[in-house]
Amino acid sequence: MKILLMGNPNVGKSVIFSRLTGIEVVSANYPGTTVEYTEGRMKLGERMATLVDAPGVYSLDPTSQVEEVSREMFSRGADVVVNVIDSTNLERNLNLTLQILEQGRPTVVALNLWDAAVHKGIRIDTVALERELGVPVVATVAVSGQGIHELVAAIGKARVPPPVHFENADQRWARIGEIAARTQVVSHRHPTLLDKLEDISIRPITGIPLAVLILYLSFSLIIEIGELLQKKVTDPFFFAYSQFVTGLVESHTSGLLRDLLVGTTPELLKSFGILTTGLYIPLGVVLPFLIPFYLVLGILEDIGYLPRLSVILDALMHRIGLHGAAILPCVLGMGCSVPAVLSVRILESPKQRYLAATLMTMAIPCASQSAMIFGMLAPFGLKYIVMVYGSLFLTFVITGFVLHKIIGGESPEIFLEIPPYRMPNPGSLLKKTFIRVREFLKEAVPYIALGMVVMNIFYLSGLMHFIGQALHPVVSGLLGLPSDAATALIIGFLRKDIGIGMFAPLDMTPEQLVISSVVLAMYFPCVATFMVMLKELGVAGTMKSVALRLAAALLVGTALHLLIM
Amino acid sequence: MPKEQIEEYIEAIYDIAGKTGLAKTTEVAKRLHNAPASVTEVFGSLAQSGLIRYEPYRGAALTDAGEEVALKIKRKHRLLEVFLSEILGIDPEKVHDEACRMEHSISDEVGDAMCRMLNAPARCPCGELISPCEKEIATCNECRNAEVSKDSDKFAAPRKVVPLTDLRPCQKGTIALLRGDKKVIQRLSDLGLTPGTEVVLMRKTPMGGPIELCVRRTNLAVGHEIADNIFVKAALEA
Repeated sequence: MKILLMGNPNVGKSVIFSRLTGIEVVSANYPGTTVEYTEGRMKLGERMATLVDAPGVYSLDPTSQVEEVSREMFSRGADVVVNVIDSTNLERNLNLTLQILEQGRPTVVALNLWDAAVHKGIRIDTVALERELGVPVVATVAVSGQGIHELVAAIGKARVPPPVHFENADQRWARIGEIAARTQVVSHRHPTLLDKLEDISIRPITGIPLAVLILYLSFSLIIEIGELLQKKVTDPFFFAYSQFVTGLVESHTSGLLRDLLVGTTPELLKSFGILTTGLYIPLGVVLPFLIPFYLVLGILEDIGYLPRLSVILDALMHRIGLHGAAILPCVLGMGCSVPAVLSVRILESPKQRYLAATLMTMAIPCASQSAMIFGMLAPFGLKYIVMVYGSLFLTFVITGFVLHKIIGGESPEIFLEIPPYRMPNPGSLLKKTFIRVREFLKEAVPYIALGMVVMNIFYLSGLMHFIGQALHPVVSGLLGLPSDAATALIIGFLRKDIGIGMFAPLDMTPEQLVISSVVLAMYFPCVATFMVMLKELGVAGTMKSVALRLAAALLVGTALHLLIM
Repeated sequence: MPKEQIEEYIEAIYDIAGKTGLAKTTEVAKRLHNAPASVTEVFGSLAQSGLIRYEPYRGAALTDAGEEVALKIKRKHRLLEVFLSEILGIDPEKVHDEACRMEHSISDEVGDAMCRMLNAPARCPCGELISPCEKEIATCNECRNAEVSKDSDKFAAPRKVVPLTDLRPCQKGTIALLRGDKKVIQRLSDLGLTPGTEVVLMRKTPMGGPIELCVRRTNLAVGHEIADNIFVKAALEA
């Protein structure tokens, strides 16, 4: 038995999915969090059923790539469709509901966000709605689990709706007006604190300073917490751990195996042993910053701030051929480029998706990279960190501007639903942070270990020296870096954080570190990002994007060499 | 007075003073390369036919009827400009003068036919918004579908519609016409922006940023260009 979850974007389908299947998926308060479908198993009485969480759609006629996924899921057929509705927006949501009912599949309607509707003074008569639609209607509050049992029971009793048909959209909307009038009572209420905040955060005169303040506070908070965690937790731990593990390894092995496992120096960042640097980079350096980053991102997401940021920055993004909604991939890219590349699907045109994916992966370092850049450059002073991010930001804007002029194709306008502010639910916030951190660890630890092995092979076989010599004219001549930096750049393809880590033993000046960090960020995507880019942009698109950034990296690197050294 | 001359004057006043402002006699004279004395004379007869309000020594302002004439002629002018540059490939520098000569001799029917052929363009080559037609349609799709049969070409009484972007913050309007390609119109309709629906403009953002509006109790951010193609009947402000 197959059950399909369908509904408008940002109504809580993914939360219901988690509730029904126990599978954890990331959810947030903005339209387009889910861009792919997820399948899970759920218990339906004695039987097991497959539940599919499809991306949100406003109608069955898709207008974007994300919506096509849902349409496709629907066309493939489902035994029961669970139509999730945002109770605070009954009318708009019923448009999809009526389209689903027109198709004549067994359907159940879940009136989600019931608590928010009550809070807003909206009362919906579920019995009357059931009568109007001819299918079971259940009120739910997915984040707290209220109504989920009733929903499961209703799925079991789902039946084919009475036939309905509408000639056109106007007729459908007329019927919606009729249903709403018969089933919904809206009472007036006073604006709450959140409503007032909504007003402040989107009005340009207060919204722009507020955006700057929020970003500033967010990053200060992330850095403060990250440094605290590093100083008080991970560094003392790794100090003790490295002595212990080095002792243990040295007492059992020697020679090559020892070098591979714990390296030759006791310094954690410079030894390049799988058990020392290989664990210290992901767990000791990146993790302390990643946890607060995802917590802060989660809070901003769940409150619903990101769509406001999109509105505030829309005019700016227009100059580079994008629109405000492209802020989402950019913000996600500060965490990890992989989900960020997937999220460009929310953009309408191929040109926009290409631009957003290229610019974001090229000029926005992921959290692991940022943590390493901070770790490396912080001892030399804030100035150098500003130089790295300043160069990348300028590159982002200038490349975007130039590409926008060169690439043909349309740049459609923003058309975005602005969800109301919601109080983040601490439980789901923690769960989301946990899922994201776990994804990072699953991805990072093996790749970093692999990186350590590859690097040691390069080093021991003399390949490192050879590559250094071969690339000497570029790396030293153009970029002004020691020729050994070439290997770091190449290993950086596996993971950017090890690439930066490999700069540590080269004893470079802070200026050289600035250049190498910028070049490493820009010249090539990491392998994980490369794979999703291939999937999203196709081979030709990815190659074009990569060639472009290679050229841009050399250009920017050389310019920095001339300017700051 | 010949129709062409009336239209030239109305257009000049509209260009100088917009829908509501006052155009000075000297400015109009300069624009049309006429003597101020003869401009004053024409103003007199235009005022008599109810197209302008003339205030001696201050200038002329368009009446509602005058504005209607101005918008109609501007619509033809801009459609001609698009037609000349896009279809005939005339140098963009020259299309303005050509359109100035042709605009007076084509009927509304020809103008609307051009609009349909050009797929309902929103702006002329220099970026000015083209005002909508006066047909009794709710979206441009209806016009497209009626390509063969001319039945839907009945003209309604002139309606006073403005682009959504002309509303003031917190002002209400009722959607009268959606212009644009099928995909945009569908998207608008999916989110409940259908003809006859009431919308409230919440706020505008500077530098051509998006418009925030409220429709069926949902807040939407809509790009400026899309909002310019949603025409509404503005409600009188409370």
